[in-house]
Amino acid sequence: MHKIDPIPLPYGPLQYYQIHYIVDIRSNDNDKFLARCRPVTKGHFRSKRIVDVKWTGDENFARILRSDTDLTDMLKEVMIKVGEITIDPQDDHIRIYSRWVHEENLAFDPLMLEIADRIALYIKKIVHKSG
Amino acid sequence: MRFVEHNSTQSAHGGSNKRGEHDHEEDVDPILIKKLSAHEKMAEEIKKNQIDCEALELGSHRLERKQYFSETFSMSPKFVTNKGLVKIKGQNIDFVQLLQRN
Repeated sequence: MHKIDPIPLPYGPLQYYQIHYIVDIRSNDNDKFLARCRPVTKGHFRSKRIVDVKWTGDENFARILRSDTDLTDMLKEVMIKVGEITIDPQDDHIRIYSRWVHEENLAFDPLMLEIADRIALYIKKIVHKSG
Repeated sequence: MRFVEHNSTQSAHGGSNKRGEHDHEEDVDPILIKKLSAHEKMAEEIKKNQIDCEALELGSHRLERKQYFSETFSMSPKFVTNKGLVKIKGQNIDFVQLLQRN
């Protein structure tokens, strides 16, 4: 349970953080890496479990990510904690991130880095192939 | 973020019975206060996982100078605060950035 500040400030930064994994890549195809991963769950409360993950976004990129079974297995492990994973392409870089977390729960997750690293590998492969 | 480290030394515990009051004051363990910013703390955590990385100076990289806002995803906050950038070495990921919601 989060500690809620009894006198919250009406402005300024909130107690929520996000970790962005950045691929520093500039290409004409950056916009083709738009994707979002959401869990497919079964059950409720304590019996809630991830049965699958669903990729949406650019059809070609989502298909590549969907076909990686190791990535899907890793995603199933972290999804209950991170909620969703977003791949957000910008002009000169691509960001991979999950939900905002309260400062109490802010911690580096090595599995999340591994997932982001695998996604980054696909991005770099596609860019180098087309370039 | 602050971390307090105690420096334990042999002389602090042994052989101080015969010393005077002045010497006793010198036996007190020195306390080192290490101030780490949020991204430096994260870099330490990453290093613990055998991943080579380096916490960059706040605001030193071009990615930090531009305010991040996602124009493609709704519910993305308009204002975020950059809390620092960590350069990852030897991986496909180039940087890890910590953002605080406004």
